[in-house]
Formats: sequence, structure tokens, C-alpha cells
Amino acid sequence: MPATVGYAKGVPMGGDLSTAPSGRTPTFLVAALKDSIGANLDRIQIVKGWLDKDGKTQERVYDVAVSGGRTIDADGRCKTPVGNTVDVANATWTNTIGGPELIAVWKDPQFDASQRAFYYARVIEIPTPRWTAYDAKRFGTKPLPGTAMTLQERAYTAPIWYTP
Amino acid sequence: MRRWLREPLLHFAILGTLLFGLYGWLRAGAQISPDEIVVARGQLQSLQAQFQRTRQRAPTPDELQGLVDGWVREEIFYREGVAMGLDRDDPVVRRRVAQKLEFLVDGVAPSQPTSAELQAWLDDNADKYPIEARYTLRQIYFDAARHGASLGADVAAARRALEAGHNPPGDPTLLPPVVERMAVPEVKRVFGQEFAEALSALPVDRWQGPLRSTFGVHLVMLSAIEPARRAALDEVRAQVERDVVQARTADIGATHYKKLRARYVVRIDASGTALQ
Repeated sequence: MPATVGYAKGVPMGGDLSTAPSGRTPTFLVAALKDSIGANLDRIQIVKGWLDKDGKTQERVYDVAVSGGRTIDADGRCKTPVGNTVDVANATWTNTIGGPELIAVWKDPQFDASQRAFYYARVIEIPTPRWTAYDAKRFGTKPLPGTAMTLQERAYTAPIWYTP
Repeated sequence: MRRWLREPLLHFAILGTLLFGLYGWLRAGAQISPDEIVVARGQLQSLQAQFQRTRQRAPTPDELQGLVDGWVREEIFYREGVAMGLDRDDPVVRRRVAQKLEFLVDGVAPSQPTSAELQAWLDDNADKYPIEARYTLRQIYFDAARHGASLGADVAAARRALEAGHNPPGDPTLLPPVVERMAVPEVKRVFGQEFAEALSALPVDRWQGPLRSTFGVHLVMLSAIEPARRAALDEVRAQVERDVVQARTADIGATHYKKLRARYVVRIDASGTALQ
């Protein structure tokens, strides 16, 4: 099981990763299984945050695992959306897109051994009806124009802190 | 003279004098006049204990004096407030006093149920104390997307390999490959409803499948089923006892309210409201 390997050899989420050996980059292992009653997964992202030279906070999002055989570009993003199966009128969706589980091993291409940073992962589901869609269906009401009727639920992890 | 003795006004005066005399005598016995505040030793101890609980140490003499002064101040304000009728028609006071009465009634300990009574309760409410079925199984997972059109053939090949005593790997997954004595609700949580329901029809000790789950397709070997059954009293005694005592406490409360309610006549002016 990936978790066994992770706990035995690495730092779990929420933990501190101290100084990297010179010339080495930490490797992140991230895996997610969908909820057994929930929607399939679209992608796993890792979010990196750090302070730049001026002391301003910076963040960058990397796609690290995507479902459905899509590709991740050199800039670390997958530009192809997973699609959308939501039937807003009936407030349903089907698990015909996305994947039941995703796993990836990832290295930060911009890793700087001397810079403090945090990394956390977030797991994004395929689009599902938002509560407004369930309400509209249940009560037979017409939502106000501009109301979001679908969303992509997400789960996120505690960060790993790189603290040289 | 006789007529004079039968005069109601005289009876009233004599009875009144006696009553006031008795009242004065009782009051003198209590030795507290209306303007007197006694900080009893019990009260002092309670203030000290409260301080000790918050600060983890005993109060200094100065602090104790401060506590007493604060309590006296509150007592005076309380008495003046009650004298002015500030406690009436106040929803917070009303709720608090009602609540205190409820606590008193709740505090009445119901009789401890005997084993026979517990058994009777368990018999009447068997569905509240289910012992769920448990499954012990191995499963091999196949990700439908990974196999595409050849999924059926791949699963069938894996099953033949298993029956020939080999160990085909299936696809990597976070799902547990081995499940030991897992109760049905947990199976549902981990593998989904469909998978859990399919298990109940499977024979033991033979590779079965493909079984669909919310994740994909599985080959499954059940090695043990512990069927769902009714709980014996000793397995759920603590829970049954708690429920019986709770039900009895609720009964005492309901009976108490019913008794009180019978003493009142309630009139509701419903005009101009939605009340029927």
C-alpha cells in the first residue's frame, strides 16, 4: 500500500521536511481513492507556496495526476477539462468520466534547496450538481440568473513544510 | 354578651393576632431580618472551590475577600431586582427556573432494571441492536478504463489463472486486497452498496466474479461469512441498560408533567394567528 511506503520512508502530510541533501529534490507520493458513494476524480494537484525576494507570498498549482489518459503539459498543467455529465434539470451525474483513483509521484521542477516552501495536495472530483441544483429539482423552483448549478468538489491535505 | 362573642369581626381579630404572633416568633427563631445577608460557611467553601477549579490553586485572603464582596454585591442586586419584579416576564429567568425543575425531576433515579427486564426490552427492540454480518475475503481489482474493451477477457483470464493456483496481480489500487471480518456497513463504506449486496449471494471458498463496485470490477473469494443475527443480552447489556434507564427517566418526566398539567386550565387566544 502506498501509505505504508510513505510512512516508512517519508514525511507524512502535516510534517516538516528539513534540509535536502545537496543536489537532491524531494519526491512527493500522492494517492487518492474516490468516495464509495461519490463522484469519480478529475485530477490531483499539488499547490506550492513560498515567499519571493520582496517577501510577498507566491503560490503555484501543478497538476500531478489526471484521469482519462489526458496529458500534463511542460508547465505542469493539464489544459483539457475532464468534461461534464451533470444533468442539472434532474440533479444527477454519471461516473462515466474521470477515474476511481489516482496516484502520482512528483518532483518540484522549480525546487530551490535554500528556499522555505509548503506543499499541499488537493483532489478534484468531476463536476457534480451543486446544492442549488438539488434544491431547484426538489422544490421545482427556477434559480436566479447567474446561479452556479454545478461544482467540482475538492478535498485537500495538510501541507508538508520544507524548512531548510 | 353571647351575641358579642359570635361576632365574626372578633374571631378575625383574635385569629389575626395569633397568626402574626406565631409569624413573628418563627421569624425570630430564624434570626435573619430582611436586610441581613449571611455568607454561610457552605457558600464560602463553594466560592473557594470555584476559584480553585479555574486557577488550580487556593485563593489568597485578599482574593477570597474579593470573591465574598462580589457575591454580596450580586446577592444585593438579586434581592433588589426580585423585589422590583425584574424576574417576571423574563424569558431567560423563566427558562432557567423551568430547567431547574426539569433537572430535579430528571435527577429522580429510576429503578434499576433487572436482567429479565433488560431481556424483555431487548426482545421488543431487537432491531435496535443488530449484530451485522461480517465478511472475510480476498479481492483482486480491475480498473475498467485501463482495460477498455478487453476487460471481460482479462478478468476471465485472471479468474482461470486463480483457479489454476496462480496469483494474477490485477490493477494497483488503494482498496484493501484482504478484508478480515469486516461488518456490512463498513464494506458498504469502503466498496460501495452494490458490491456489499452482491457478496451476500456468493458461495464460500471459490473465486467469484466479475463483481461490479463503484470503483471497477473485482474477482472475490469469500473465506468466511458470519451471518447477521440478533444480539444476545450479554453482548449489548451496557447499551440496553442505558436505553432502559433513559426510557424510564423520560417516563418519569412525562408522568410528572401530566400530573402538573392536570392542575391547570389553559386558554389560548388564537385570534389573528395561524393556530387552528
